[in-house]
Amino acid sequence: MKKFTTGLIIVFICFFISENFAQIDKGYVRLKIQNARKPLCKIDDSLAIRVNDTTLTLTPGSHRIKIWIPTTSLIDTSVFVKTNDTSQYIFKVNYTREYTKYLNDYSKYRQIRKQRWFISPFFIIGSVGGALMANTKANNYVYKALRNKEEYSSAGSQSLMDASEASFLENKKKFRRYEAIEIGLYSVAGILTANYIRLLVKQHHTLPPNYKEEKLLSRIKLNTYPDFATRKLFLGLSINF
Amino acid sequence: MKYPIFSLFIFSLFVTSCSKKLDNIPFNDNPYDNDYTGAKAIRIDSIHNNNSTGQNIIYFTRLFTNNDGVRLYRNGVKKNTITNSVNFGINAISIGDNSPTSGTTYTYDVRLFLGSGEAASDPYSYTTP
Repeated sequence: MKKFTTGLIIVFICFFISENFAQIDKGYVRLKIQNARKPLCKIDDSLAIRVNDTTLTLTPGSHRIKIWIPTTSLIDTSVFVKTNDTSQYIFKVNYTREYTKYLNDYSKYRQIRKQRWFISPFFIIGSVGGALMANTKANNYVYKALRNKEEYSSAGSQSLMDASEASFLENKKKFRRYEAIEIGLYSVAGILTANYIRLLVKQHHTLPPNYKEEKLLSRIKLNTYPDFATRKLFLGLSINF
Repeated sequence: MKYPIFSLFIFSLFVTSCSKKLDNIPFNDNPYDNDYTGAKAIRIDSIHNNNSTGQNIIYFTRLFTNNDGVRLYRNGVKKNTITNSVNFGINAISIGDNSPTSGTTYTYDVRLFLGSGEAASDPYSYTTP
């Protein structure tokens, strides 16, 4: 009986120890990805999952992690998992240089296409209106100057003639000034109109930037694993990044 | 942006300086003007003595319509005036010197007048018979 009891105890101890030794250690790693929606994540080049804020159960130790999605730069790093502990890693995904340039170009394109130039027509109308007003003024001074000439012609006294001549010269000077303003404003209106048309043509002919986005499927490869022992051929899919 | 606009206005001033509007309008074509350089507005055609009255009759032609009348000057002294409204009909073309001295040579000129302005003819010498 004593032998039997001892034997049972030994068997129990052995079983308990073996159970303890057979238990697989676990650790947890929490992956948080910023700046991208659910990129692909590979752990030790074997598993590809979509993650954003995920807690993975892994064996303790170092693991290689790759995070990638089309249009972003590859993150290739290692994480260390502790036994019965949760390690937290936050990764910020960066867009590739080409994609960043494409985003900038597209933003500029949108800006150009959406832009409405209200100021130019306003100034064009203002310039033409101002030129017409200046023209009216200039014609008014021409009329006054010609009246001065009539006054001169019908005058008998020298003082009246001198006054008419002086007034004529003054009105002629003012006419010249308003004529200059008129031509200047018409020129401004012409330049503004030409520039406005140029902007409209440019806007109309602005093409959207081109970006050839890499498809996820293009990274998928078909792999074959011949098993010579069983004389079977295994097939598998993998994503390379 | 400031310089192109400034240049534009300089250019427009240049263009307007080339404008001929209101140019070539003379202010020396009024015969009453001291600066007048044109032809005489009035001229003495001839002078005759009226034997019955002793008057020297000066015949003249007006070449300028805008006037109030004509004044006669003898040796620079005003001797007679006729106005359009009173006794200077459109066909009247003479003015008389009422007190000439026989055998004396006078220098006559007739002057159109308008207000205070006068336009003189060329002088005309005549010896009273």
